[in-house]
Amino acid sequence: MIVEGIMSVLTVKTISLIFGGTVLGILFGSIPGITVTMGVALFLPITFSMEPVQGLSLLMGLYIGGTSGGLISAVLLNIPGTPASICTCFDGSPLAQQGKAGKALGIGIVFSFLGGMFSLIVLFFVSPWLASVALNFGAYEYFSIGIFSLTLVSTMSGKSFIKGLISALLGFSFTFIGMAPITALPRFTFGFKQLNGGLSLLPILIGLFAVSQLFESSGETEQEVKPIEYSIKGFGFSLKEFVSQKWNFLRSAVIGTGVGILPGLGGAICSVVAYGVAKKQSKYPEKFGTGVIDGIVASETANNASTGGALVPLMTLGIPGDNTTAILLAGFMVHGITPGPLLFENNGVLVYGIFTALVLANIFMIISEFGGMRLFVKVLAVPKHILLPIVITLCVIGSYGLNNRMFDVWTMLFFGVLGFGMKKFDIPSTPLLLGAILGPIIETGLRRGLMRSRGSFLPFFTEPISGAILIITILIVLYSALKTFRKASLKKRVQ
Amino acid sequence: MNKKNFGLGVFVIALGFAMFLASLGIKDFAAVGVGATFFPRLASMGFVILGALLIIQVLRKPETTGRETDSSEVADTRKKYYSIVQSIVLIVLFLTLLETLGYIICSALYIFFQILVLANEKKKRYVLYGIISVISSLTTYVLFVRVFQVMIPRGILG
Repeated sequence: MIVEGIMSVLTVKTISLIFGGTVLGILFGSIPGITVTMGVALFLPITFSMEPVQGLSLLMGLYIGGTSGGLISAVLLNIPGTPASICTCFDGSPLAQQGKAGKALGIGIVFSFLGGMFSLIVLFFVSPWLASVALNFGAYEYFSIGIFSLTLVSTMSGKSFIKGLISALLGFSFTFIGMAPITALPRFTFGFKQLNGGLSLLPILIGLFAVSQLFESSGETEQEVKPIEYSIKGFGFSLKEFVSQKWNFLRSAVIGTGVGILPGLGGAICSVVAYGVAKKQSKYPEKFGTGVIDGIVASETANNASTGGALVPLMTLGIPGDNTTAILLAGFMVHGITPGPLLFENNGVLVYGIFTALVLANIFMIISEFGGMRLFVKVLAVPKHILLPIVITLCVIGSYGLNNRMFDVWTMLFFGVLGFGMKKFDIPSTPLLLGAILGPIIETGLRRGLMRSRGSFLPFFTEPISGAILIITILIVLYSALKTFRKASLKKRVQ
Repeated sequence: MNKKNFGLGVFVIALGFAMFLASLGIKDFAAVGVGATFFPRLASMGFVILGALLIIQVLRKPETTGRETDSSEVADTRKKYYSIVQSIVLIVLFLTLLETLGYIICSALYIFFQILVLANEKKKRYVLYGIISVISSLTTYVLFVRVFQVMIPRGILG
């Protein structure tokens, strides 16, 4: 089966799709204001007419390329191309300003590659095992994992726990629209026939993460984009420097993969955590932020390591590991495939095909970033005021193409405005997205579970896995609540 | 007092009440366990609690002296919101006319005017923008309809 899977990807068409996807992903990732999430969402409709393995390979290329591409603008412009590269700015940009941009870029690229490959090895070995464990998951477990993921995301996105929860609850509430699970009677449709099927996920995604960007840029005076000059000799850095980073690399890769596996947490959080830990455990923490390669290694290793990690819950449980994997989830569903434990049983060939595609994507990424750097830098200079309107038309195509109805496009616009509004009030969007995805899982899990237990809530806590997850969730809530109160009372004491 | 968060809190509480009222209209039968109204009602209670917490948080914060916003800042914000409204209007027009006029015309027009809205301070290079709009519109149409076989409204261009 593994060999079959690998072979299924090794056709000219698929390989060129992966390569194209990776290059496009790097482009999307490197242009500030256009995120990898947007890129994958925009290309999803293109995969409609493709074979599943081809469509998903293209999306994987975009995913891998996009996560890495952010380092280019982080180093050369001091603006992160995607949120996952925020920490790369801290040390990448100072290095570039010292004339060592080539070194910063080289390190970022190589360690992105290594981090990605590390997480793929983990993915390869962990996911079949996790899938076999998850085969025994029932309603109780899915409910608990759903609640756990949602709570985790709400606490980790942004500064306000309360706002994170509001966002998650809002996303959850949107899933009430349509037919109720199990009982199948309409809810919140207010007589509109088009709402009978509920809101489609893809327009929500596109609106929330792509269209809202347009409104952000309206009225903002666009900064003049002037990438710093650089030159790369070979890899850009020495073997000695490479070896000096081995523990930093290993630690950051583990953090990236581990945090990536946690449902709901993705590249951005991984790199922030890895950077923070690297700084704390370093012998020269005061140098972080001035241009030490350790910072770049930590950030870029972790954010690419999160790609493999985030795919673990997606493929084994059907629960996305972050925003972009949420869109990959939509990608699976569009091809009629439901990721989850049965994926490994029924579509094993596809699974190993995807793993192969990921490996190829990583390889193409490192090749094209070193080889095509000049091109990427040129594209960085394309002004946003021209790029964004074109992106919007792609968004419209994408939203319409799903079900061929305008209602989805209007949904996209609604969520675009909503996403923009939420940003203005400092409400994070990721919990909303995950609330919308996990809502049905949580609700169905609870109701099915209760049917099974004849109305008793007890089994949710007494079933070992479910109970353990729920207890961890409660602990997380208590911890975050305590943190918020402590911060507030500290502020008062300072006054 | 942080007016934004206070207003948000009030809105969220109102949302909770509204959702609860709307949930009264849900037809349901639940033989065992909870029915279709359970989660909506739970969510509405959740909103009320969270909104209240937010308001409490705002009220507990000590008074910070707000800085005076000078006239240029006010004008800037007004310009910003004007641009945002323009963008929304443009997209609404785009979507409304999409099925009648078809994708090619609508998107070319949309791109052209949206670039103008976004390029607020810069020199307006109308000819360049026009060319970009038309080329982009045609390219994406051909790409998506012919190559990727996605359906897009053709409108009056047939």
